[in-house]
Amino acid sequence: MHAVSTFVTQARLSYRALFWWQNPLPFAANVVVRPLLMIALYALFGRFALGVDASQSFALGMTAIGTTFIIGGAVLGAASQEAWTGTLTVLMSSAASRLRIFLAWGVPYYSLGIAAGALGIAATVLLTGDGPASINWWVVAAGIAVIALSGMAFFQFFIPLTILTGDFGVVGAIGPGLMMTLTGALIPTDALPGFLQTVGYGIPITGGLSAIRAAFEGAPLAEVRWHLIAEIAVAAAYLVVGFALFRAAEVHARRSGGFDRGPA
Amino acid sequence: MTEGRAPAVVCEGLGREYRSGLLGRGPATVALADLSMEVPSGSVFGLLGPNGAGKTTTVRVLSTLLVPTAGRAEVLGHDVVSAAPSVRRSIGLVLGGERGLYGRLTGRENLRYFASLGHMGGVDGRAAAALALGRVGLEDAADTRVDRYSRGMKQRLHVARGLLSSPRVLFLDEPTIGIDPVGAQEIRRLVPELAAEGVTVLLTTHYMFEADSLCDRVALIDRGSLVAQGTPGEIKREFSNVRMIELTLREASAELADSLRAVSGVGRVEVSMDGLRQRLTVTVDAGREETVARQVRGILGGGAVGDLAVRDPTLEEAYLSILSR
Repeated sequence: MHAVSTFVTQARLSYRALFWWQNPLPFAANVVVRPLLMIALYALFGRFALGVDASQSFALGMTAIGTTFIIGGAVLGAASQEAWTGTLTVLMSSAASRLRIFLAWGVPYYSLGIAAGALGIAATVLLTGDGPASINWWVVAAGIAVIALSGMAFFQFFIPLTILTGDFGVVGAIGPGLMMTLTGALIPTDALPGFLQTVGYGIPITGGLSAIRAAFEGAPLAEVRWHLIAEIAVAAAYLVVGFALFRAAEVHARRSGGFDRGPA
Repeated sequence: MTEGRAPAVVCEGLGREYRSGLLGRGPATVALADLSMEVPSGSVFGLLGPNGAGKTTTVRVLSTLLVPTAGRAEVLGHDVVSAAPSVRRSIGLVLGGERGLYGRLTGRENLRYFASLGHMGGVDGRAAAALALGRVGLEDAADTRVDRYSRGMKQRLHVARGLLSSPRVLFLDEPTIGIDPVGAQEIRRLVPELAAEGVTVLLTTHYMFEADSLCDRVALIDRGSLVAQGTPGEIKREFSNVRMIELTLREASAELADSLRAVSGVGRVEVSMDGLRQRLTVTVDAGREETVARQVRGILGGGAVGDLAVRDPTLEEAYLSILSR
């Protein structure tokens, strides 16, 4: 209980110290307006280019993308700020639990992903005119929850690279690109070559989005449970490997010259 | 005051080099070379040297932020590489400068954050933060955002953070650099208090008067190597091998300094004005001071010399003498 309460204090203060978009205007622009505009854009693009069914598919795909992107920006922004402001050096000289430091860069932003996902689902229903009664809302909620989890884990996996390079531009180019192309968000996975379909199942969104799309057709939990379990497994794998890489990056930094990336 | 105590910090042949290049196979830059020293427990130990001498590298190795490439070091008996977590639990680290704090948080929140990292929850964390803020005189600014702090206030907050976990060894890396005299004095006032509580303080500084007034022992390092080690008094008397002659002249002489520099045993000659009189501070080899004083009177003529006194060098003068060898 003590460990939980100190972690809550740590995570709350970490969020206040490091989250970029805390002021109302930047918060609204990044957490609300941008995801909604992207969903609207792709929903309309799908409708007029491919038909009504594509409109819903694209809107749900962009909802999943929006759920993970807001977490990704926050996670990588927090980690790179630690390196640039010199606080990472202080953290690494302390006896603090490395797991707690690692998790505090991600957990505070999980709720942002949930909020973005919920907004996206609401926008999808409004834009595509789907009847709420036919949707299995429990599965949709579970799908958003697991996509937010795996998105958080995926971007935490890249924290070591961000720390070592002091820049998340590299990750910003890789992660979203993989998600946009290989997860079924915009391009149906069965239209991809076989090996890319396999790669896609190792990337967040793929399983959770399949479950949400099925839930919009009224599918019960039993029918989509393996999609959700796969998404959770992806999240667990990225968290475990990401933390191992973080420890490896710490060892490397101690050997190569330190953690600071900003001005001396 | 520290005689006979077990050392809190031990360095044996400590070395650290950096290699450039993507794979670290480029040319090596030596930051530390064969540094051996001991810091007695409960003492205030000064690590002195010019820029690039290896002071900060030493502190970073001892605080486990850097792995040495040669030799070994222990803090309170724990090896800094193989027992790094034990070292971290025993130390506080205060780095100079404005970095290393969360600007959006208040001073109190910064300390509560670092307290939470040390597993100090609600009541304990608040109490520890309040105590540390009080020790550095930041109670009135405790609830102000740190990005509105002056440099001196940030430096004091760094010290407060370093004290949060009640460390047995505190590393202060240039804690007063670039801050105003009042802020610097606040930090200097803390050092003897901490030593009196049994905390071992390892202080790096450029300010010789600071080291002279605060430190029980000092080590001079240059280009990564130990040059001299001892109490400030020992450094002044034994390691510098110089004495200082101070004299005032009734009439200023432009050529005199050059004439003195030509005298055997004379090193630096500094010329300054004391009112209308010219003051010379002459560095001479130890044991030669009486001979040189006679020669000075001979060159100038006894009547031209006002006061003439021989004294030990200050730590700064000794430092300059040692580094110029």
